[in-house]
Amino acid sequence: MKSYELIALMQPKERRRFAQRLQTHRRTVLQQLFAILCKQVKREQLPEKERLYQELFSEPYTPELDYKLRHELRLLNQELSLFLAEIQEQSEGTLTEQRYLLDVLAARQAWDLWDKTLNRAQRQAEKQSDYGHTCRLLAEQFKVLQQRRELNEDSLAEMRDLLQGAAQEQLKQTGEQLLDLRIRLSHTEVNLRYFRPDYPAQLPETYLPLELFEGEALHRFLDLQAQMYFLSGKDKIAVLQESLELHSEVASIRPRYEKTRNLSLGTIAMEYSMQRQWEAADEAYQELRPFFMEQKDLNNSMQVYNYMMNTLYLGKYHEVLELHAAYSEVVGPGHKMYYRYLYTACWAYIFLGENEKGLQLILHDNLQQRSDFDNYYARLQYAILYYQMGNWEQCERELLNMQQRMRYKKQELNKIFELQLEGLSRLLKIEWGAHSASEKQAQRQALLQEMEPKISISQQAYILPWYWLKKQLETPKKSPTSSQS
Amino acid sequence: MKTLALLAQLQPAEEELLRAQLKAHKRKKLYRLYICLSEEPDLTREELFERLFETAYHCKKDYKLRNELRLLNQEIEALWIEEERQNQLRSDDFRQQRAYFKLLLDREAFDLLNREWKRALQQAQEAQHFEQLGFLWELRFGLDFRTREVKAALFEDSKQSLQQARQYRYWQGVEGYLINRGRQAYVLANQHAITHQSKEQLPELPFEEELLEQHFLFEYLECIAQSYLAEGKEKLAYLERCLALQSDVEAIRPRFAANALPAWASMAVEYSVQRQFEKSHQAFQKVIPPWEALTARHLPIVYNYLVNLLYLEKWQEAQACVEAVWEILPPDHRLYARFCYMRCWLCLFQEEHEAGLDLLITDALQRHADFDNYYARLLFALLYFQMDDWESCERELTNMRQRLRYKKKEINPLFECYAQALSELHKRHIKPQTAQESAAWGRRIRKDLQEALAQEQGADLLFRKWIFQYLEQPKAQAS
Repeated sequence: MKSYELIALMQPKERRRFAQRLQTHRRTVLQQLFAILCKQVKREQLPEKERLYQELFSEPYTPELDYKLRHELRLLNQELSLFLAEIQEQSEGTLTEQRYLLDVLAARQAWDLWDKTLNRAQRQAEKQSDYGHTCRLLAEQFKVLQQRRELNEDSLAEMRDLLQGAAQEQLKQTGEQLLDLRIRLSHTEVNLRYFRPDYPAQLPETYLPLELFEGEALHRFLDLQAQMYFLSGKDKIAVLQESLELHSEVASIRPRYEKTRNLSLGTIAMEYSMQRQWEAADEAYQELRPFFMEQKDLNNSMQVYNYMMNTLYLGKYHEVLELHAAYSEVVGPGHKMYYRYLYTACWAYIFLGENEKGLQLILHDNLQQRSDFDNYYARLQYAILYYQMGNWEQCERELLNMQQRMRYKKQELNKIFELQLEGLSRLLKIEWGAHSASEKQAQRQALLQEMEPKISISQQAYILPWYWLKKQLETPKKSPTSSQS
Repeated sequence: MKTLALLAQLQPAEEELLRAQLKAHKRKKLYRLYICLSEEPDLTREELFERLFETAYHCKKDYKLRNELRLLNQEIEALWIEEERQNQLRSDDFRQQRAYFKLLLDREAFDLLNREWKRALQQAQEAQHFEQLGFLWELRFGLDFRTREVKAALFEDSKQSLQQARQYRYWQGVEGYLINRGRQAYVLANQHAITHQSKEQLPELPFEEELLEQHFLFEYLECIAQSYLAEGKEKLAYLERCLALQSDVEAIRPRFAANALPAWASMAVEYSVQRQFEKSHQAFQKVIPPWEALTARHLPIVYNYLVNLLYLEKWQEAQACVEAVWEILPPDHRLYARFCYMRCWLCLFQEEHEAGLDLLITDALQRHADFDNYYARLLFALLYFQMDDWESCERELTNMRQRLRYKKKEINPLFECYAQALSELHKRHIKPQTAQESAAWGRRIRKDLQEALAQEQGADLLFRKWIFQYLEQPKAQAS
């Protein structure tokens, strides 16, 4: 029942205000109906039609009389919708209210007060670069001028200025709306390409020529935000840097873009990181760090993950662990990034040689329930940790488990892990094998040479195992003294 | 004091409401301040301060009074704002719906929104309400993003929603721009009419002109704008197109119904200017109200209608028109003198010369701008001429010529031409000729006049009509 749903949306204070308002409504039955429904909402119990009818009209319900109840409910809904619309408008700021006041004063021809109110409203609209309001205020001025002044050279010149100003503001407003929607459409386009790689994603047209908005920081900013989706590398970074330069000006008039600064910085960092310019990426992340540490928000989880990865490449393992500690509660079990956070922190332990801690972190018994990626990644890290701990048997077992799963599940993902698996197995064979030190060294060298090109073409997300492997091949390990687990 | 100005605007019902609100207000001083100001508006600032704070006024304490006054102002303004908000939201269903839907989205009433969205879209489509359609498609996008699983299908639907939203937002902007453009054209046309400087054109459209073909509303609005600035056949073509689209436009924008009458009126006037008097007369039929419903608002167009009736020699209808106008025409109306002149023409053509003179005599000639002054004198001269009072006729022509010499204006040659023609007529009238001589003279003067009047912009058709009528049937020569 719509009335019930609407009342349930209202806060107690709003219900009281609405009840007060109904007192002046000439249809008193609405008051009763509202009171009954309020009780039901408090009880969280959807009212039964029959009982509601009986209570309201003090007669038994029959389907033939249902129209009476429907009619009252419809009237109540109308009043509720209007009331809720008013509440919404009240929250939308003072500019609309000033326009209402101007309408009231114009209707009463209180021109002195009207002029003062107009000045105040104009100042405010201009300060906020609120093109829509400025346009409406200018149009209102034009109408009032027509009413108050005779048509002569001066009044017509004034009217012309007002209308030209209003036309400019109108274009700016439409331009802003269209460019804002273009950003969302661009985002949709790249997502469609993500889901359907053959999808020809493209930057949507602007409708209005951008030359119309030359010198307008906001419009340029919005244009750049859309362009960004279709660029990569240096071009993308350049666009983002330009939008960052405009950011403070834009955010001062459109606070909703406040967050864009951090997103842009995060994307710049990500782009540098993709190009393996870890230091440059770190510069951007360092700017973001205070924000990440202060607002441990779920919305930051992806950016913080990227930050952790970049920090790993830079060898700042303690910083990685610090970030993980800060976000371990935010990105808890059940979150889609949960395991990735664990694996990233685990890499820090691996590179620090704190194998037990690494193992502790990722050792869970629900391996089979994880996605294939998470399953393979966990086994790979187990294998590495066991290898580092000198428990080569365990290491081999994990690798075998991985191989078995891969044989059982044929998929694209396997290719990446198969290579890493192969590298690790060969490493194990070299270290385990009964060869002389010089033979082992030669084998290591051969494997290293084979690995290099694979590392360079490897995707970002899968590069760390290669780093680790390279390190192992460059700095040989002593044979384990104990291989028993 | 602003508060006093605000209080002066309160209506009795509002006063009552404000009184009740202030009584219930936690800040008790506001009610006291209101009572003081409404009962004793002449209190000095010092007295007001003392009444309110029960202590002597000191300029250092003035801020306390200012603060109370500001708060009272806010209360009064808030009262009006809430009333106006309610009125405007009640009278604009689409606007109310937008605010209501925004609240539902904010309060996560997704099911309810989903149930209501489709019907709202249908309503907006029927009304071709671009702002509403843009809003609803944006809402669809927001709603989907908050309620559906992130899959390819979500983005496919999002793309459709956003494309629709963009198109309608664009159209909303175009509509607003074209309405403004129409107003600009109106202003430019008036500037041209007042300053007589060359007519300026509208700025180029900031979007592709083909867009005007995408919706009949755009074509309509552009035709309205262009019709203000075009002339002759071009103007008539724009107006005809506007009127052809009028009923479709009214169906989706009832407020544009008000455009029909001015369009018919412009068309009637333009046909008249083009000397297509019958077509003009037909167009006037759409505009001129029944005489019993005539109001001052109709007078400008009725004036043009009367002129056209005179051109068409519809004397009876002109007489009925004049009588109806004189029922409501205030003597201080800006068109009073012009109506007098037209009525005078009617008298002239109907040979009611005395009545014509009576009309002119009541008119204070010197008050008028040059054109009206000359015109009145010309009519005087014509009436005297018809009444064989050549002395008075000559006096009027001399007065006119003196003023013409004294005030050099664009219109001078035109009136010189009229005066010259009238003098020629009189000379011929007092100097007897044979029938042959008279016919030859008639042909010559007719030709000369035709050439002279053709060269003069705005040559008066009624004068020409009168003079040629005279040449066809000259009055008996003076004895």
